[in-house]
Amino acid sequence: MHEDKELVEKTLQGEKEAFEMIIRRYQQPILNYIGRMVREQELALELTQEVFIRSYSSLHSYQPKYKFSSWLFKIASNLIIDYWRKKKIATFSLDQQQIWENQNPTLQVTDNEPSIVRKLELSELREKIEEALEKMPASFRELFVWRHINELSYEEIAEIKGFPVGTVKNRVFQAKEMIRQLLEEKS
Amino acid sequence: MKCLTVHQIYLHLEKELESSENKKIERHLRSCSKCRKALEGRKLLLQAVESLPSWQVPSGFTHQVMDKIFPAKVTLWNSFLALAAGFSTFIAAFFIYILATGQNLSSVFTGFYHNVWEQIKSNSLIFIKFFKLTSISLKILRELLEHILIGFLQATPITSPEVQIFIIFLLILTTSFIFGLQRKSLFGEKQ
Repeated sequence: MHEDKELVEKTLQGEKEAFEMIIRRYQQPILNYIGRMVREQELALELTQEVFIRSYSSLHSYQPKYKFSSWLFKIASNLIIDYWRKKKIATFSLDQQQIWENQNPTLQVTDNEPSIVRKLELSELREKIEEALEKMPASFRELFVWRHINELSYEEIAEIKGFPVGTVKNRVFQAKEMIRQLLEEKS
Repeated sequence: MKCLTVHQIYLHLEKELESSENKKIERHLRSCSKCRKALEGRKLLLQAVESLPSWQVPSGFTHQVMDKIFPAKVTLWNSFLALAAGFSTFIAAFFIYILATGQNLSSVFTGFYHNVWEQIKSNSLIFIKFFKLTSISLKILRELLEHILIGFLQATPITSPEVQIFIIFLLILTTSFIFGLQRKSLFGEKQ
């Protein structure tokens, strides 16, 4: 199996097949991320395609000291922001964001904590999680998807967003609690 | 140890804590049902998240992207090769026909010219009408296309793509109808 950096080098030397391998390797994770951000299959595919076109045209500027996947996800993230700006779509309300940001990470477990999670079938639970994800502010959703769906490490996410690792951990934690609370609210 | 914070529970579930810290938490969990319950609920939630289905990548997506990045170039040499390939296929098919039917090559050519000449002679009136009609049609078509183009340039910013497709469809339908009528009436007139 070729390393990403090796494939990048070969692409820069003119080997088209090397870039095809990159696309095959990353099309699924990139689509999983973009799909959950824009919630529309056709648009998600269009943006995923654009990620690869952009990454190919700026491949010479890729610095091998960074992970290639992080670089690719950063392009995808910027592309989504550009798309939302162009379409003038409000990604999340500031008030809503503030409420969640004020959540205390040192919160203690409460007595008689409700748990809808245990009462639901797995398929039903997945459906409700997708619905909750849709309601979550985009800035939190993005970090949550990277961490728990794309399975990126906290360090990688911090590298992509340029945040300290601690901040990323906190926000992902808040996102998880947000989902839990949204599930409880719905029930 | 006092009860766990929600943050500690998540870090423990994701194995993001030092082993000594993990051990302390495990000891506490053995004796505290409230924290155990809280941990179980969150564990199930994370398991469900990690098993969410993937978005479907259509087959052929990779090729589609590759074609966008590396579009196929039509060079003069490629076009020449395609033409040469077509011509040689025709020649080969012709000789296979000669060999299979056992005909004389010169009689095939003579027969072909004779047939073509006979056709031209018998259908000369139709040929003349056909060329006349074609030149008139092309004239009308050119003017029509010019007007359509001007109309579209003005209509594009105010109509949706669906409406534009519908208009094009209507135009094609009307044009074919007009040409059909015209052709029929021209032939009828001379007869």
